Amino acid sequence: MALATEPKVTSQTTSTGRPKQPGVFRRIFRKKITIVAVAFLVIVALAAIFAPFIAPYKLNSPDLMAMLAPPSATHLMGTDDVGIDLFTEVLYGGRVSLTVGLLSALVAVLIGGTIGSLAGFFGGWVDEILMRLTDVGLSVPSLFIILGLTAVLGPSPVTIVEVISLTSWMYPARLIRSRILNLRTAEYVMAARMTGCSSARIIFVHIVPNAISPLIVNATLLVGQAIVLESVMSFLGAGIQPPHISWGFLLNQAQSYVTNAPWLAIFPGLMIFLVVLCFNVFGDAIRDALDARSA
Amino acid sequence: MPLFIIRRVLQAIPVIFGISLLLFFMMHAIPGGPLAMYEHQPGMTKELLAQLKANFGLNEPLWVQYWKWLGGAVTGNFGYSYTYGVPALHMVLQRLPATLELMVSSYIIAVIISFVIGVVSATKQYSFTDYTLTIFSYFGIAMPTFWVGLMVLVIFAADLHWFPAGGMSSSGIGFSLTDRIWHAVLPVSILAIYQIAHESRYVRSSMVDSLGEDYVRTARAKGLKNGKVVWKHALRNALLPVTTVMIMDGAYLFGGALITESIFSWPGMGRLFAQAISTDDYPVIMCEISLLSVIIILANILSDVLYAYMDPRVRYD
Repeated sequence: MALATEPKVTSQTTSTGRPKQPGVFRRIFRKKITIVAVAFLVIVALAAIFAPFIAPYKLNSPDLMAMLAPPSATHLMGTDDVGIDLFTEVLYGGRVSLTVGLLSALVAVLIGGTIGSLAGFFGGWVDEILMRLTDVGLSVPSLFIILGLTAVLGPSPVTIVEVISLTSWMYPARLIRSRILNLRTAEYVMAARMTGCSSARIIFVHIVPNAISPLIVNATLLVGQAIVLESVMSFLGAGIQPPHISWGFLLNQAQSYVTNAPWLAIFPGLMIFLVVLCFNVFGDAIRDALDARSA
Repeated sequence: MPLFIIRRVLQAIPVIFGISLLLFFMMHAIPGGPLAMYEHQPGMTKELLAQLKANFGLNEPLWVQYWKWLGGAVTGNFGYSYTYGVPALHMVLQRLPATLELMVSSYIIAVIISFVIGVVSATKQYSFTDYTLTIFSYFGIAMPTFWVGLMVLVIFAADLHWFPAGGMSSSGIGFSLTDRIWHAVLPVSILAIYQIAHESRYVRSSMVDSLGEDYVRTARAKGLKNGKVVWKHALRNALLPVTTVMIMDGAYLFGGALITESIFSWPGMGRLFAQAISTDDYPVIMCEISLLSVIIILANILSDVLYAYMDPRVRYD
């Protein structure tokens, strides 16, 4: 439960009900650390997208003369047990790790956003049922459910995205619901209603744009969480399977050689750590930028 | 208060119902269903399988099956492990003490350290110490537990030989407390790191809030020692929001234990679960998920009740 975001987020309604217009982007990048974090994420993403052009070696071409070779000028991150260049594998692994992370977060936010808005808009028994459903989601041991479901359904990148998003939508749902409950009675919404705006106009023009910003913050943090979840699954052998590779899968493979080839475990883990760290920094920066109190 | 507890327990019923539906769905999604174990036995024929299906009541309507499954689950009948042929519940409960040892020790350590870090950060807000501790917690939250575990294992166990690489005790020397502690140091620290990183942030922000309150200034104004103001007056009020987080974290610690136990070959529930996953031992998987769900629901209720008890502003009518 990432409760940390809650107190700040609720204070975001200004008296006009609009997020502060000027310079949101400038406020996000107010701190240098945020620029560094986002630049790093962009570089990693580009490196993953253009992996076939950047990678110094072909993905599945073992160099039998250099098995378990330590990092050097020819093999930047060393090689694995059959002599495959680790830097190449990390580049390709990034594709799966990042895609799974981004997609899971996106799906989770879409599910959570829909459920939360329905509950908030309609209230009554719809709200009651949907919120109980959310409680169910919050009361399950999510890591165990994720592993159990993949064991039952069989691991594939699609299943992994499904199970991760199925266990991460609850927080966004609660977030958006409480935002909408607040906004429904906000003065500017009442004013809009008084001037004769239709319900649809109030929902889509007045409420949704204002309710969506905490969701963006949450989505950013969810990407990091999803990347970690995928890597945990793959590390425990229940996630990504060959021919796909991800950073977590590389760590799973590294386990057996951890004493004589520690670089196999260091680099993929470092990538996960840095990417998650940067997503967290980025998410916090967006939150601070959208928070009226800290302006 | 008793009414509040009763209401809170009653509210948990639809939640438990929902979870049981989810688990039932999972049982049915299992390849081969509950008969998977028998399908691959030598001499199994289609007729025999159909006979078994009828015996197990698997051709009855779904809701009847659900009802029977629920009845079994409530009385602790989660079926037999595919791998070992013993009752799943028995296997899980056998592993529980090892996991509890790991969880309880790391939990206690983590809570104490979180409080110290959080309070120190809050009293020295925006100081060098505060920034250092903030960076530490940022790192602690972003570092995947299993990776830290792996790294620690390489450095302290494989390389420096300061600590054993896994297991709960050395074999063949009988029980020795120092040996047990020596084995527990690495896994307990790994399990505690994330919790410290996470909770110290809550303690800090809660302390920052309560240190800004008027009554704290009053206490200072009447000449109380700083230590007493911080640790007695301010901390007591800052405890409130933190307690809920800490109780829920305790329940979620099972997830961390799953990872830590797998890395350090700690013979607990988490490792059992990881093994069950890799051998498709579905009854054990289902049994463990069911038990943990119940534990998390109980922790949920406990934290709500405790919150209501500690905070007079919460009405429980």
